[in-house]
Amino acid sequence: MNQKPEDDADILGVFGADPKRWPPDRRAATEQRLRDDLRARRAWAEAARLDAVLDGYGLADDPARLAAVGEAILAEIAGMEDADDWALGPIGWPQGLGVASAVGLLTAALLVFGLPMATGTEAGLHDMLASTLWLGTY
Amino acid sequence: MDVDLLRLVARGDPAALRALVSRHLPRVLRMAERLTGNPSDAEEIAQETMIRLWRVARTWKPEGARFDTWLYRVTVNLCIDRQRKRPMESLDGVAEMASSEKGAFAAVHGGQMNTLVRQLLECLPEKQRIALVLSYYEELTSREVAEIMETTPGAVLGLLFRGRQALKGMLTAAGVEGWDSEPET
Repeated sequence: MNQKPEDDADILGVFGADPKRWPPDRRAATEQRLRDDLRARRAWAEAARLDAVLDGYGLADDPARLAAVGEAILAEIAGMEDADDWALGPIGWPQGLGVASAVGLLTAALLVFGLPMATGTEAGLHDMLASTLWLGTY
Repeated sequence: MDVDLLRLVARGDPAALRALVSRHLPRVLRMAERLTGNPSDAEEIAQETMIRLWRVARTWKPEGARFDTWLYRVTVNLCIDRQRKRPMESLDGVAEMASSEKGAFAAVHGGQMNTLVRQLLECLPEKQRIALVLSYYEELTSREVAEIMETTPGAVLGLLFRGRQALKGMLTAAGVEGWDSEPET
């Protein structure tokens, strides 16, 4: 058998015996060759036997298994959604930029509002963080 | 359709995510099971593939690769990673299985046929196995397989040809009786 799969002679060796699997533009020529050539018919029979072996590896979709795997996937993703900042995405908290601006503004706030920090008032710190996060969000 | 669903997923729409998962999970799971030969590995790979789908939704660019090509490429790559961490299957298992199949080959749907073919596929070189699974079982075109494998359609034809040749050689070497005789009509 020719070793170049581009040739008609090797359509069977590449795609097997089922004409539905053959490239449409090569189907007629291959079928003609099967009618004319005994060696081609032998090659077809061999391809058909290998197809039968391959078809023996059947994997039917099991609806219960698919449902279980699907639900596990959705649960895993839902858990991640709670755990990271993705849920904030549509609100407009660009990750990285938000953190960078928060750090920058916190530094600036420390310089400007050093007194409340120095005195350690919880309310002052809270206000400062709140304003920083608010600015970081927009 | 997929791209529309992806846009909705990017906006946090859980129904769209559910639709995408249910649309693609059967094929991803089947593909992974045939590529790894292991149902539980396949489930983990399918899960990881779908998580990557969810993660990519926010940054998906429609002008890039086709969505299903991307999805199957992720599946294939995860299977490759998984397979490379596992020891190679040897032909001994196939021969052992084949000996128990002797005389029973005509009944191709015999109970152990799944295991025999799974072991045969595992013995194939990686690229030949991938090409065969995507082309023969998933019935993707050579062009689609080439896009997933990031190669040319011509190279895929070569892989399919060599893969089938190798399978025939393995069946003969393993002494699977009846496989190379003329089929009864």
